[in-house]
Amino acid sequence: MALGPIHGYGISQRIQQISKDVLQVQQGSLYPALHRLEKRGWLRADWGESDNGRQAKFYTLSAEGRKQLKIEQSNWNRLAGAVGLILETAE
Amino acid sequence: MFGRRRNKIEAQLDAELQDHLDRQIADFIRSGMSREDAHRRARLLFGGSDQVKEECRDVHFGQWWAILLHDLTYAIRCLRKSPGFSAVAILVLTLAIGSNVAVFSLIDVLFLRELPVDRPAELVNIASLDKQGRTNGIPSKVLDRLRAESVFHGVCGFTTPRMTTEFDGVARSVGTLAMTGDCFESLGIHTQIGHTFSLESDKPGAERVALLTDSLWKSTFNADPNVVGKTIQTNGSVFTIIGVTQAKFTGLLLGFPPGLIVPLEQFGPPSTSSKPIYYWVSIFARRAPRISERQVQSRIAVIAQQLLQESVPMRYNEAQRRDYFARRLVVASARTGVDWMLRERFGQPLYVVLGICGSVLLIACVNLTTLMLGRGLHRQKEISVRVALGASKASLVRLVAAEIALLVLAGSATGLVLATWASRMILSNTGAMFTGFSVNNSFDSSTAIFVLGLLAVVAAVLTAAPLWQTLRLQGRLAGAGTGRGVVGSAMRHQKILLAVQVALTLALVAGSSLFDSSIQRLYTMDLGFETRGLAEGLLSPLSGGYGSKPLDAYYRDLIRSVGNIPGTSSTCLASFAPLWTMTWYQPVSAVENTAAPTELHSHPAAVSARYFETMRIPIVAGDAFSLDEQPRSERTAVISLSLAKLFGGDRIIGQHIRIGTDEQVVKVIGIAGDAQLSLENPDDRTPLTIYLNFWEQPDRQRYPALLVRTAGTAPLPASALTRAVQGLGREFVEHYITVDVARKDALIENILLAWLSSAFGVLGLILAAVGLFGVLGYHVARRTAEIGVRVALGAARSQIRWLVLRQALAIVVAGIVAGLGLTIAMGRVLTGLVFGVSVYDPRLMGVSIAVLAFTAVAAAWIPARRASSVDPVIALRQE
Repeated sequence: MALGPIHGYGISQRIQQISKDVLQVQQGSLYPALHRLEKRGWLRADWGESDNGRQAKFYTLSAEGRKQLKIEQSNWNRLAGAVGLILETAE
Repeated sequence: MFGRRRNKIEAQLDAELQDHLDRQIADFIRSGMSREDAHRRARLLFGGSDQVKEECRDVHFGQWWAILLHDLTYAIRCLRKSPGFSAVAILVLTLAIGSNVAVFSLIDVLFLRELPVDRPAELVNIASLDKQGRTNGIPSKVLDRLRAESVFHGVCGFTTPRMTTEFDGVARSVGTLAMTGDCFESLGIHTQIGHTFSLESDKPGAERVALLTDSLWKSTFNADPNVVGKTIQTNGSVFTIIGVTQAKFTGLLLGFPPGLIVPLEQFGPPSTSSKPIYYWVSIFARRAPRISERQVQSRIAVIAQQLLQESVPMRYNEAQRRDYFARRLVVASARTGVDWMLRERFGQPLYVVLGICGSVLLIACVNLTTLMLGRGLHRQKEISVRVALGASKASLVRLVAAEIALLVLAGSATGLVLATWASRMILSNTGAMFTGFSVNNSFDSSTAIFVLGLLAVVAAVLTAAPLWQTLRLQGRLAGAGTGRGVVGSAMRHQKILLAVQVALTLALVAGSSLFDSSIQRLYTMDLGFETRGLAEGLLSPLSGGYGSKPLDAYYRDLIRSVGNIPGTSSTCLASFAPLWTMTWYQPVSAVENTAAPTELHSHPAAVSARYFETMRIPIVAGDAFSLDEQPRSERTAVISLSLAKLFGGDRIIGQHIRIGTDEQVVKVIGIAGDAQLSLENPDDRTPLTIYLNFWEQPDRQRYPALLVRTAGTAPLPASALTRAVQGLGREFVEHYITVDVARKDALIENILLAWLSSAFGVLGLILAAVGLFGVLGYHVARRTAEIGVRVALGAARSQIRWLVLRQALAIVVAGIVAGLGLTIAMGRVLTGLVFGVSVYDPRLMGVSIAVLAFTAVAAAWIPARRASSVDPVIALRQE
């Protein structure tokens, strides 16, 4: 989403693609998450014409969302790093 | 609006999910799947779409109430886990909120409630003030000119005469409103049955008509729907009932709801002359559209002299005319009606009581905050776990707020019930003092606003400290990772809060002891006459009215027949009832003694011969009125000692005094001891009274008071007096009261103040004790191990006890010092409300401090004992 507006189906496809099918969740559960992020103001949602010529809901990362993404990323990196370190020490 | 937004979101959600499925199906078909397989597989991948929709909906709508419900359920569980704390908190809030609302509702009734007519904000009251600044009536003659003024859109003149009305053969004095025919339209007073009267019926000679108010209609006519057309007999005339006013109309004068409404021109006896009769009235007028109160004021200022010139009563002499022309006409808003004395009498005491209630509420809040801080310490572990699990700041805030909101809601619900009960009780107790006094004490919108504001403030104040404590803990945990240190500072804050509470309580206790000793003095103060064994009855004519028959012979018969009742020792008639009726002062001056002051005002009271004997007022010089019935050549008077001193002492006997505006000249025959006949101003120990001979004052003989002294201390019962008066067939006892009770009634606002402030003082003490007990108890529990070590190392029990008591003493001493400052600062406000006691009386102050210190030590004693009985073995094993 950081790359530009995308609709829900597109997101689900991308997740599957990028995670190389490691993450297999039910596609539907994506939507409450999207709505929650929209409600918090981290995503912006607009209705627009899509490639198949029909109206679709496109999600974009808002400025605040971008900031939040950075925070979450660094948090995750720290945690992942820490977990990694612990596992390494355990070896 | 909410529904439409909901529909839109719902439709968009459907479209979005459908779009997803369509794309997935299209992709599957493109990759070579059959249509059916694509459909099936897409749905399988997507999962339960209903569940997804429900979750999305929750994001938009459900969330907040689900969270609220969750928070509240949790809060209820927490409160139920500590029933003692919850019960104390709710009880404290009930008392504090209930008392504030009760007192505010009384203030609302007295000061804020609008007149029960149409658009009351447009109404103004035109009053005339004399040189002394007292409000007087205005002759109804001015109404003709005011009606023609373009700044007004209708005027109304009214008065509340004393009328006797007969129902089923029993004479009663019913509150009567006599008003001009245009009042109904000008003010917007409407009927529920029948019709109103107009200026047409408000003329001498027209058929006499009357309207009933809702209260009289219901109480006396059983809400008879066919009441229109019936007749009643009032003051000797027959009135036809033409209608019943709406239930909301409770009169124009604060505290005096009328039962009957009659045309102004018709309440008097039938007129024999053709000259128009004018009455002293109060005047209301409705401002014309777009005319401000200020514009009305300037217009009235322009025509004031003209109005006075035109309306001066014909029978006035030169001096009276001069006084009359010196009057000022003032215009004020009549939105909340007019009042005779209730606001003046109860206004200040009520505001002081509201101040006391406010400080009790403050104490209660401080107290609850202290207890909650203690609870917060208990809950540190729980909160630490929550924070560790990632609880956000918002969820911690909600955790604290939900609990407090629940407590405040529960406390205010019971508080409102208490307030309704309390204000009703106070009103029914004070109501006894005025005949026909009653106010509508149902809660209205201003009380509702007050309640909501109060709850918001209480909730905010209560939330502040626990919230701060929780967030600080969260901050620490998020940063350094340990909760230590918070405990110490919370203890310190608890102690400071306790000291604040002690200070406020001391001010409260000092105030209530002040009011208490003030009322004790007022109760036992020597009034200059003996109240015990004395009863008084206010007399009114039977429904035939006084008519024109002379009253002399009848009154002599009356005194004789009451005097014959077994047990009575002395009886007299007076134009006033001691400690019961209001006193009116008139200017007096010495005729012969030109050196005497001229600007004196004195209370003229007409009394019959046995008055001084009945009241037990000594005659200090000269004579009392004699019993012989020979008419004298000149009118005589007995004056009070204080007045005599101003007029040159004993020399005044035999000299003359000129009284007031009617220029009556009387000869002084004696000097009586000072007697305080009214308690309107209890500080005035030099009453200036001029007693006139009842038999020489035919103008002052109507509606007299009958004073009866019995030989013992038990006053004459009402029934005996009633029977004796009614036996003669001209008057009835409208009101009977013993003078001891009248004395109590005259002091009702002081009694109310003393009673309420004592109750609140005790409440404050209890709160302070609970606070100290709670905090020290917790402190001891936390330090059990330490105390165990001390004991093990050889500390004496008394040393341990002192360890705890010392803390309590530090708090109390700090609180008392602050409280003394507060009390002294408060003193100036209270000075005007107490009699015969100094606000700075060191003895009272000492007693207050002693009471407070004793309570505090008693509250600290139990935790101290518990500390000193710690068994070191058990204590150390706990560690």
